Amino acid sequence: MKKLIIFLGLALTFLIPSIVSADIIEPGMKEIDYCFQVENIKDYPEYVFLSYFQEPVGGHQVINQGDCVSFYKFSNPTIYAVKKGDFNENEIGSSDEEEKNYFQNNKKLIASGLSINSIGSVKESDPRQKIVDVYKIESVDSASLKISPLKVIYTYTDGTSEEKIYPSPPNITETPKRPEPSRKTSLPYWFSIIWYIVLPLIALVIIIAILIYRRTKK
Amino acid sequence: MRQQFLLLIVTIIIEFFILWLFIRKNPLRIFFYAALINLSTLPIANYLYQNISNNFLLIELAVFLIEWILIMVLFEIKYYRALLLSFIANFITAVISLLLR
Repeated sequence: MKKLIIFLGLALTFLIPSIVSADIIEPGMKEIDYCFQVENIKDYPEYVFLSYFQEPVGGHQVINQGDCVSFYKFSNPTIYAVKKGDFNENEIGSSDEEEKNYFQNNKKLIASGLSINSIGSVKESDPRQKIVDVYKIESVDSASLKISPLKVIYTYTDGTSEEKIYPSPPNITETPKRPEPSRKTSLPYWFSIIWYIVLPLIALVIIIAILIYRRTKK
Repeated sequence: MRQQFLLLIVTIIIEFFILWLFIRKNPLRIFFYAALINLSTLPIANYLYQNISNNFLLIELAVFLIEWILIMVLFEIKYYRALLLSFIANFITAVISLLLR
């Protein structure tokens, strides 16, 4: 019984941290810069565009042409538009509660249904260093704000970058999946074969040989 | 590539010291067995982590269980002693890899 308790205790020690480690960069992973831009804000001079970071602690930002909005990875931001004449930043208030109340109950704010998916970390061998999502305002009126993802810009660790165009979503209400980068994690083929197959196989063969040798010796 | 080899060597050395601390005989053999154990688990764990699952702790748990059996059969020690050794060795290497970041 004691041994069983020890075993379960050891197993739990391994498992429990997984519940609380959501904010820790795990081994083999690296942090990556992420932000989003709204490309054609200048085409809507009569509106102010805002990003509200509802979770976990709030915060907001007025989005200007050319701004790349970065945020905490679990913030789940929403983009809003409001007529310039209806916007006074002081009305938002200074506390989290006032801010939350402003964004949730202000009838003059027009929310977009766009889901913004941040990336906080990637595998260490991933050649990407920065991801910028570029969005486009399709339309805005007093009732609705339609924003769609236009392209993603991947900047690699060697300083080069590439743009990938978002595919058209199958359903207009659905946010399309971010296109994959051209450059992906990879090890040289010969190294992968030696590292993942040959070395473990040789080690296992030697272990089995040792065990067989011992058995025949007895 | 260099990083993978470095990680393997560091892990072998750490596990060797932990095993040697508890077993205290024939250090060369202990080092050889520690190398065999890690050569058979670390690259596969590495592959799983890079390509199949991001769950570091789940993979670490699988490594701990496999190494438990390998330590038990190679060093011919009781299962609970092997379990403890495997736990300490893997716990310390996991903590060190977290701290090195």
